[in-house]
Amino acid sequence: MEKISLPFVFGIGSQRAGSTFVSHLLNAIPNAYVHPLKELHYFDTKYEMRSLHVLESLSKYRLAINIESLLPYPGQSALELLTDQIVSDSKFSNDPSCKNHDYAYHFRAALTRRNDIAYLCESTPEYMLLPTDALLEIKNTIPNCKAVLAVRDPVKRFISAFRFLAAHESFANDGNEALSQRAIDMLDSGTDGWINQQDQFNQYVQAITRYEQAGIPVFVVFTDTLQTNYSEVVSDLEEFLEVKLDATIVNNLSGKKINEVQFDFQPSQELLAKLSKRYQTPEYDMPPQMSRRSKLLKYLPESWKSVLPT
Amino acid sequence: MKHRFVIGIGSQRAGSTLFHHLLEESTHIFMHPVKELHYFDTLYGFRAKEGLKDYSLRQMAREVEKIVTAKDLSFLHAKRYKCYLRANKTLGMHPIEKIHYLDLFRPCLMNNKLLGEVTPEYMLLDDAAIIKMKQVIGENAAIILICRNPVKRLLSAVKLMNSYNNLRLNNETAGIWIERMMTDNNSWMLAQDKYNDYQSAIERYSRHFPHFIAISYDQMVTEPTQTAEKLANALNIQVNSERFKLAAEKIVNNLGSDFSVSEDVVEKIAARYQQNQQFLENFFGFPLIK
Repeated sequence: MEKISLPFVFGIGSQRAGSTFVSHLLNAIPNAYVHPLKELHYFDTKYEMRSLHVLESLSKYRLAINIESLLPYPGQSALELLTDQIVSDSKFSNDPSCKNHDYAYHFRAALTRRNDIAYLCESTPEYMLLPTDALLEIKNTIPNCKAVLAVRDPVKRFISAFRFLAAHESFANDGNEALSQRAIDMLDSGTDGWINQQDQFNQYVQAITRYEQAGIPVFVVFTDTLQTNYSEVVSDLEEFLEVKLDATIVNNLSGKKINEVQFDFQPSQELLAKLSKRYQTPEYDMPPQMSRRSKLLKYLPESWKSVLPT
Repeated sequence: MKHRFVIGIGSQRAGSTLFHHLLEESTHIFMHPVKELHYFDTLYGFRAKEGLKDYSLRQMAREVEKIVTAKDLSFLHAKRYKCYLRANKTLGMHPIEKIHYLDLFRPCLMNNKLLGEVTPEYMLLDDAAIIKMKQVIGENAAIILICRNPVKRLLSAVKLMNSYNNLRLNNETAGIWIERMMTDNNSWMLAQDKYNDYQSAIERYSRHFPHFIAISYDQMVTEPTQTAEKLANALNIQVNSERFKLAAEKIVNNLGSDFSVSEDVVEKIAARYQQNQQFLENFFGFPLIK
């Protein structure tokens, strides 16, 4: 596999935990090229954690739209964003398994065109779920890579994910009570694939452990408390990435809620209680395992700190 | 109809690429950058739908590779290039039944009243397909068929076959290969017979299109000025005969002489196409260049 020698940072999730905010924050890295497809889904598809048909159909859909978008006269930067998306989607359309083309291909057009790129970035929340073997291969291909993980209270993250799911389903208008009951039924079924995935998106420590085992350093952004210590987080992120972030972009992002789901769903007390119980067990984080990580502890929400062992 | 179409319908290996180039150079017709759109032959079942899809997607992928290696993307601003990329996208990603022929010429419709393309396979359409084609492009469309000595056309088709399929034919094996094809009468050979059947194509198209003209390949190459005038008169389009002549001097798509066959084989081909040759000589009123 073609190696990428430039410094590289992955946004690795978690889904509905502020990953879009993180991907916007990566734009503040000077001379960075952030892939214009926010979620490339290369590695999760390649390692068969996601259906290749999903990537194929989405790529074809976007490809058709983006070629149409070339018809008017887009400005130079818009043209570059469009063509880089076209390049990736064209390749995904032809090779959705990602087994016959290198990850580096998706950055080649930009690297050919520009000679000022010092940092490469890409964000796909599903990368959080990659197994250690895959991460070892990534580390081998991109030796100078790091990852940023957005972490959110597992219960809040679940509710946000369910809100996102419900907004796009036929049962969207069922009302709070029925929606809560639906979520409870899904949790109780024990076999629901969506619930299984949500469990994985809440297993932050396991994800961090896999990345660290592969030698990929992870910076954690606690989105629940981000607004109270934003400048401190930014400063630590700068230290982690070894760059000075663009202050204008950083300031513009301050206090912003990005990619919020505009769908009104208030979970029932029963659902909240069930979720709290489900995600308080040791395998879901948190507090005990977190306590061993000073870097993580620093940003831990007060509610979690309260249950830490003294 | 706001736009008028000018469509070359063949024959294959009879100078259709040259003709596309000549019209581009000497007229105001917007000749489609995808030289052969293969719209009507695919739509009416004369060509496999998957074949057009695969070919168009390959063409698009090739252009994407050009973008990947480009230091400067300014070529993407050219409408002609956008039309090329978009037409390949459309033909590659949408069912042919869902595609409107005129749409394939976007974004070049606004300032181009005359729209053209050349697809040799259109020559093979039957009456029913031609009637449907007329409903799409209008009775006012100009249709052009280029007729070439059937023997020379066949030999050129063999060279193309040799080149595309890496048959590695030489002077000796080419003759054997052609004779075997003629004996077997396989699908390739029968297709060649159709591409040499100018009479049927002329009869079919002239029945449905008042602005139809058959022109001689020999005359187009040796007397380009007369051909230009003939085209202008028959089709009611403006042709710059001087530019037509200059462009005709550049023979496009010449595959070169990678082999030549014996007189004996040439005679056998001539015998197969004797009626076709005779028809052309009578039709044009001068002997074919041997």
